Amino acid sequence: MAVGMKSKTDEANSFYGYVQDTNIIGDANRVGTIWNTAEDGYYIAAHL
Amino acid sequence: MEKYKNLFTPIKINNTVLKNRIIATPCGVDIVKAAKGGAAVVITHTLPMDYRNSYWSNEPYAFSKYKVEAVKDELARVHAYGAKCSAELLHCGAVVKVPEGEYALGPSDMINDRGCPVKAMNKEDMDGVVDAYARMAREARELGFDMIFMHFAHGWLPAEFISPLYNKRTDEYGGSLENRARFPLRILEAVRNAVGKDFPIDMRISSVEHVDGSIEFEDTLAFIKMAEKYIDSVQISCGLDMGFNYEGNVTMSTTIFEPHYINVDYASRVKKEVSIPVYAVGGISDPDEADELIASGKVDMVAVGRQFVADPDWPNKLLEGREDDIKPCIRCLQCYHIATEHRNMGCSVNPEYLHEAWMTSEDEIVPNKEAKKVVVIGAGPAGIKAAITASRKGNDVTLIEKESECGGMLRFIAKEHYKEDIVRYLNFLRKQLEKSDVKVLYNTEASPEMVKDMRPDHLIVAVGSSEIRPRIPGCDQDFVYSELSAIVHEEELGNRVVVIGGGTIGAEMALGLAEKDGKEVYCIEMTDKIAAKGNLLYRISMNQHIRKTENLHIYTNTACRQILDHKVVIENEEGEKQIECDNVIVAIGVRGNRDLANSFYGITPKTVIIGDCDNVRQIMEATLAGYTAGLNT
Repeated sequence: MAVGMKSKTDEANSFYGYVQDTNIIGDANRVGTIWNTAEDGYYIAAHL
Repeated sequence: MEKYKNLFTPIKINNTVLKNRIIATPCGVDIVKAAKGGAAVVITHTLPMDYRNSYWSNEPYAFSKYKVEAVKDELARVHAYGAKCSAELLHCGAVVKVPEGEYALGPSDMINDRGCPVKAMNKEDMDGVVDAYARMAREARELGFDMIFMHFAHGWLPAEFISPLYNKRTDEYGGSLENRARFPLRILEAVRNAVGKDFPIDMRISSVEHVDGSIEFEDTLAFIKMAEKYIDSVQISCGLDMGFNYEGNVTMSTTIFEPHYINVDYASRVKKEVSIPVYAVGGISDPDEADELIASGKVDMVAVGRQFVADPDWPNKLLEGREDDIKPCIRCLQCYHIATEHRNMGCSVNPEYLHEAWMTSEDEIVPNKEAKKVVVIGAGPAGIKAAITASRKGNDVTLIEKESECGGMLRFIAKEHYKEDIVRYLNFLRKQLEKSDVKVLYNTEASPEMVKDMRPDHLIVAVGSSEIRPRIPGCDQDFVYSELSAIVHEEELGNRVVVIGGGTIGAEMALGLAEKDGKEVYCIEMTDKIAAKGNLLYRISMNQHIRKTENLHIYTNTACRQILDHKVVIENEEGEKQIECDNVIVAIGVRGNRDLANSFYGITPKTVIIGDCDNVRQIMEATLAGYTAGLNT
């Protein structure tokens, strides 16, 4: 079986509401490439 | 965040959670700055789609190889600040300007306001537009956008089909609402299919268009209900963006003559009828008002445009408990290219706006290594801005003001009708001055000798303007007021008032006294235009109110010859006429105190004259001059 991956959106969303500066990154946000995850992780952490 | 907890409570749209309820709309807003400033969602500016004349001047497709990298870069920058980015899909339809020999697309044949032919779309055109929407939506999702923003408001193509204003078709796409809705619904269905069921689709729509013969709210509401199965949220706006001589623009982007949050009542009515989140746009700039709108259950979120131009950091400032530091939008509309007729754009309260390429940001001011002695004369909007900015540069700043309070001309303007936003800006300036290290000398009239003794390194002169006294016989009688004294002593005015001078101040005063106070008012203007120095939309909005105010009588191309005992003698091409009145207000403008300002030259080589004493203009120019003068110390 190789039918692809699905984001853990609901689990990720459950962390909203604790602090305003909450970000979902990587596959939990959208299943993408390593490039996407690196971009998400770097830019968001760099701008905190 | 207890105080603004409603604004900062997350909300779920489809399966995407927004960190707060603040949506930055695309009205000249720098979306990266809005994202950095704390918006939950920023909506892109129009992304031209890949179908003929969907946008101006054959703009290439937004995701074409020529443009896609720039789009992706902006998207990455928005995401870096934790905001969601919504891709605005918009076909401009019948209102675009097209090259010679081309035609625009619309529901019906017509010649548009730009003199361009508009062709009624056939089936092939419709299929092409639907496909273009679907392709763009699909690619937006693939590129990493978080939402789709379907712009179905303001007289763009989908709205042209929905509204009977443009749609004169007699086939299955015209006539009844069901028919008029058919093509827009095809677009929504295609976009939903393109992005999948789990991707948020937002839709903006005009509740009403504020032009005769346009859509009724009941039809808009019915359309939203038809569209609900395809969309996840709806933003309620109103008016038109182009066409019909801009008569609908002044409600789409409200002027000072309209109330705040003009669309909330309609949004609230929609919210009662649908199960998706509903929010409003239009004149929402006060955070307390915005929080209350959500708290009261009228809307689920707020869409904010111009306040993000005025201060992109306003959400973060709320979170940090810095409400006093939020620069309030005064709804002057100088940031809107149509209002300014593509001339003299800017922001009255945010001097950086449109000058970012060369101007130091207020957040990035670096103090001088050595403090200089700076003297600022005059605490109007220009002088205050200069003094605060010079102080932030680490200088020793003294601000000299002859009156007992600061604000200059704003003190008077803030007392007029329609000026609630100016009141907020005046309060902002006063609080910023209080919080600064500027030493303020009130009740002190500066003289060259006095300033010379202070030995300033920099001298900034902002001594403002004075009222022009006319040479009209009889204008020295006790029932005749100057414009400023009339503002201060408005309660003394009788029921019949003649305002001499239809410039912005005179015309606003005349309208306010008639519309708000119910007085019988006559406004006498020598030129052919009322409020000639106001921007285009300001004038249109004012004229709409003038037309609705039967007790306001405007006389253009008319001179005032003399003022008798409670009578004003006027003359125009119809001859001479006398108007009986209780009071006369002479409002023929102000003149810069140039001679006074010039008298301060020679004390230090670093002397600059700013504000009205340099050139009588608007708050925007005063703020810009004050800020740059302060930066240069």
